[in-house]
Amino acid sequence: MDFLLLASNLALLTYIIGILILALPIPYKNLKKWGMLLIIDSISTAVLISIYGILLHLGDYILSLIGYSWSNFINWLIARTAVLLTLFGALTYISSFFKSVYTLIISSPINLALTYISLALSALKIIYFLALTIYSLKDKLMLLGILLYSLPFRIGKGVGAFLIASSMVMYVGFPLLPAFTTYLTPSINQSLGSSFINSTNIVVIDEVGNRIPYPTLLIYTKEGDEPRGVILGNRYGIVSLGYGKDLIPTNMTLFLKIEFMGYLFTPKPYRINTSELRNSLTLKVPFLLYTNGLSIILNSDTMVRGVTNYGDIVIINLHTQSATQVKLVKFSNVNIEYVNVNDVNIACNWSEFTWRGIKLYECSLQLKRLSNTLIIVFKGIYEPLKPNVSEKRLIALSDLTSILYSYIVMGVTYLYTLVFLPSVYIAFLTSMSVALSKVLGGGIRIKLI
Amino acid sequence: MGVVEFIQQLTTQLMTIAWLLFLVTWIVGWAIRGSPIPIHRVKRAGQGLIEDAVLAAFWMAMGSTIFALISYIVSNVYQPMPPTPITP
Repeated sequence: MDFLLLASNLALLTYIIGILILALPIPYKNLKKWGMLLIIDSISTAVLISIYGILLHLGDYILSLIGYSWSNFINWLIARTAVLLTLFGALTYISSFFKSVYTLIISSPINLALTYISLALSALKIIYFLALTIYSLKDKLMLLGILLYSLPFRIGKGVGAFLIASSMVMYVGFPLLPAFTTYLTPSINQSLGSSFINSTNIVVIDEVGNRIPYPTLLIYTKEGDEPRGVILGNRYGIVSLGYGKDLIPTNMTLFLKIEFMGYLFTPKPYRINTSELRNSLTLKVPFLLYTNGLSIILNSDTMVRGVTNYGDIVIINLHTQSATQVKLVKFSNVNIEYVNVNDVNIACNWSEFTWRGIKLYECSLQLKRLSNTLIIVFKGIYEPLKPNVSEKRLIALSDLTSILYSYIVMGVTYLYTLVFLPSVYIAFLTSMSVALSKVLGGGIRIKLI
Repeated sequence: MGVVEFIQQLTTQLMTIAWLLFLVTWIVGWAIRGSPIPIHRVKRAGQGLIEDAVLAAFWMAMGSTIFALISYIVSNVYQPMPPTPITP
């Protein structure tokens, strides 16, 4: 149905009704005034119907005049949504760290920030809805407004005027929302993904590159301090850092030590910066040889010339600067047929000790100066024993608080920008619409006679 | 019958009634004014009725002219929009 035709006919009807009232043979002044008012209403309706095309293009014209467009506004909305979703994802990711830690002090502010952000997301959704309604239904709203405006006896004059005014004001107003919020939004320069390092695998190897089973990695944040983290590696010498259990801020120096079979070793490298961490890191433990459940711990002046492994027979060539000792440490399940040093069978005097819940046997071997050949014959192939380590995962709290704080600030900022400011802005637009609707119909009365 | 046709029909009918009413009012107005009642207020009421009736007749006669004038002015005003200024 052609609403404009209907509206113009209604305007004509109003006009005739006005004349009818004016022509009534009742000498009552207020009635005559009312008739005159209806005539004026119908004329103003006719004017509105005629300028409908102009009104439709006026919004676009004003927008292009001030250099804003709907496409930019939609892009702005999409960008905000993307940022919010990233923030949401990052916070969820961080909160997943604490699933295994149960740190209420940390997780509750994160939940607070998450609440803020989900609130901002729903506010954004409302803005989307309102903006798209105005954008797609603008001409229909205006048409409906004119139709209501044209109804006789001023039935829908106020509503019609408000619809016309709001469809124009909102159409121009919404694309200006980014400009409104830009000056009041603090810049957010914290990049989210890089606050924490991703997970990394640390491979622990001995002097000649064999992997050490079940190494215990001790992590210090200062040299000679209490270890901040104690993490047990797996059967294949891999220590997993991160993976939802550790929280390691970037740009932090860590000092590492490896504990293995009752001895504490300083690996190479022993000092790493978390910003240099990649997917994997190899830690070499010098002065340690591991084979088949047996560790050979060397002195610092001993060099390994070669290791030949035939399964249950191991031949090791060592070079020493002076006559020195090496230590053999074996698990309790390992049986050794004999130990031969420089073609002499040695009866090893094994002494027992316990380390982290497992039994170990230790004996010392005397080496002569310069070249030595060590032959160890096992009775079989042995599996390493797993030490009983109570793990202490690494969580750097001092750096964490500042990061958390920035996340919360960000959450509040988004709440402010996307909930509070748009509400104020929409209220502002509505009051402008009301003002314009008064100009169109409600408030101002023109008295011709 | 559509709404538009109904309204158009209603308008036509009302217009006829309005013309009749104008005549009635005009006659009633003159009748009151010319009546031998020596009360000034009655005469004034008659005079008012005549004035209103003439005014209504005037607006009714002018009706189509007014509406045509509005559309004429607007069609003259509604020129194509000037080119958009290039924003930096």
